[in-house]
Amino acid sequence: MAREAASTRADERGLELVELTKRYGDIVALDGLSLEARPGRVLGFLGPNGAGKTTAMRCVFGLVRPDGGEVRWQGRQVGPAERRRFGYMPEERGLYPQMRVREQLAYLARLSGFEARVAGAAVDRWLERLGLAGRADDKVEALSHGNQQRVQLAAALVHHPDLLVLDEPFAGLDPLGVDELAAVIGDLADAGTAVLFSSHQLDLVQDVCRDVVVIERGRVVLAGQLDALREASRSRYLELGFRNGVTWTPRIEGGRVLVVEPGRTRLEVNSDVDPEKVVALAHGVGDLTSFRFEPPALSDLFREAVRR
Amino acid sequence: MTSRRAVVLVAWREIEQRVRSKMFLFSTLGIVLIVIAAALTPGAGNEEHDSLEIGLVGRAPAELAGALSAGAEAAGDKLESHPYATLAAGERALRDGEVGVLVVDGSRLVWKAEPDDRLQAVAAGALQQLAWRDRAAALGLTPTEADALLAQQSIPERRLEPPDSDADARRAAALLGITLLLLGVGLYGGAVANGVAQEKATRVIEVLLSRVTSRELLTGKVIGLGLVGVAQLLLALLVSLAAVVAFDQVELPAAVPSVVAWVIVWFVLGYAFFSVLYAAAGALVSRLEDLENAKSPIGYTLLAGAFLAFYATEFPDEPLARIASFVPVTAPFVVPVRAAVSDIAAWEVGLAVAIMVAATYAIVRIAAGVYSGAVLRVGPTRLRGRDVLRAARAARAGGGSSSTSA
Repeated sequence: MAREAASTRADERGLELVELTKRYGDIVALDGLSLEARPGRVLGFLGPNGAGKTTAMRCVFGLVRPDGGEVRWQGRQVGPAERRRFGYMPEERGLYPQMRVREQLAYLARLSGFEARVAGAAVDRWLERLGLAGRADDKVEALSHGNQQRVQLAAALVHHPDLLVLDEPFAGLDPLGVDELAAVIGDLADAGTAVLFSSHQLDLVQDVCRDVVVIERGRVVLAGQLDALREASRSRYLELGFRNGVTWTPRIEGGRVLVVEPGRTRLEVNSDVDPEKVVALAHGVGDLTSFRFEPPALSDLFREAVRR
Repeated sequence: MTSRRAVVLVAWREIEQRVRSKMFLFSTLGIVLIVIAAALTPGAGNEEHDSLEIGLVGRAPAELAGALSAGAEAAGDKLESHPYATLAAGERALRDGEVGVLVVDGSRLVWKAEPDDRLQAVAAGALQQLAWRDRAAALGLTPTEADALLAQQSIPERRLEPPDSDADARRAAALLGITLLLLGVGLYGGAVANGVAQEKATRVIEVLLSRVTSRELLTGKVIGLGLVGVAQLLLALLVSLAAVVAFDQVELPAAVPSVVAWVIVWFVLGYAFFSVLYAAAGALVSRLEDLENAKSPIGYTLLAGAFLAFYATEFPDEPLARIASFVPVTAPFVVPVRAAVSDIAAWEVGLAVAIMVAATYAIVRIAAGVYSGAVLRVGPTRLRGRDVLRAARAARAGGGSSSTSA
């Protein structure tokens, strides 16, 4: 899902985390973490559990005070005024269970600086877009889990933020919910919003993001445009299918056999391996039914980057 | 957006949600009922004494009736006597409460259980009179001589100060004031604690604090709930007074308006002091189940203040009551009571208010620090205020770059 509108804004500065550090006793949560989320782009924020993603996001909103480093928006240090132009969906979802949906969203929009009438209009538009118009006057606690998630998303979006930070937004969504959220994120980026979101669903991230940052133990271990990172990897993945359940275990210099089973062989090889030569070798073994030679997927890059 | 606008928005939400809840309706009704009940309780206003009901059984000297009514008249009471044919009938009437005491054969008294003071004085006095009369006759005095001997001597008396006809009413108003203060501060301080703990437990706190600072949130909550508290107290008092006046049950003591005013003033001072403590208590718990435990020390402190205030209704000028006027946790209860029942000096009130305001300022700073430090921290058990404060101070001293101060 390439976002072309983004390119016009690519030069603008967005959110910058600069050398953030944070310790909790002996535990180092952030260890000089730096990253940037630009207007009009979607940045996937990845890392194993406990890598420091949530701590970094909380620093953006002043919910955690870093021991060192700086959070900047368009080059300036972030304060309360900047934060009102940010939208946040925390990992721990939370709303007032007893408040009605429309009332609650309007309240949050006003806390972010909207006038009452503008807030009301924005709420109605988002409720319409997220299919919640019929539940506007229900209490939040009366909604299904999926609909509560939608309200939580609306809470992050209702004041048209310039920066959207979503902590695990896809967790717990059904496939339709995932598509809906991916579409919303895409539209917002098209409209110039900077989006930063964390996720463990890497195939999803691959579809939604052009940029990724992978962190581990509070430090960036991989960052850049996803396509470039994949191309730049020194690994390629080879997959061959054979007729009649032929079993083949090839010997290729620098190659690693990942799967061998009747009719299927999967290898990891160096990027300088010539695929034509492998095909030629395979022809000597049996009839080929399929052949794939591809750069690593995001999940492969992720495993490489955080391999301990 | 200015800080003030955030505070107003938060306060307004608290007011809206509170006033709309069923709790608000029920607690207002509860307060109205308490006030009306207090106003109609004997001893509260200028109640009228019931007439004395005395049962007579057996042979009684002719002078008994006269002696009884003379005694009742001297005590300012009305007397009704009921003759019964048999002791059994008299005792039945006594058990049923038709009479308060039974006079048997003009020489013995029968009570149901505890003797009533007024009846005791009148009935025993009358029997004593008859006994003296008999003894005077036995000593050989003529009835005329006996009358001269036993005639009531009027004893001259004078008073250094005019009688205070309002004293009972003012004491009752003070007691009512203590009850309302205790109820108001406990109810609305508790509501602050509940609101804080709920925002933390439901995690809506992160959504809120990504928009406003913890100080704005706390200030708005305390002000919003405090305004509802003042409004509810005023509403309940006005409705109750209107009801009492409409039913013509008691005459309104002249002291009432000033007592109401003092109750409101000290509600505001006491609420400001205790509500931030309640907010800190609410922020220290991670689960709503732990909240009652965290609130209880504050509740006991409130009760201690109320007990001292009850003491002050009887002994408003004793050293204990005077000292309690200058102690922030007890002053909100003790000072309005002393103002109602005694002539507390203006300087004492002024000093008490000044101490209260200074203490409130200090406690707001400390408790708001605990609140800010604790409200985002979730632990398996209750956080300890000391640890949180230390962490908050360390963070402030460290001067983190993305500070929350505007």
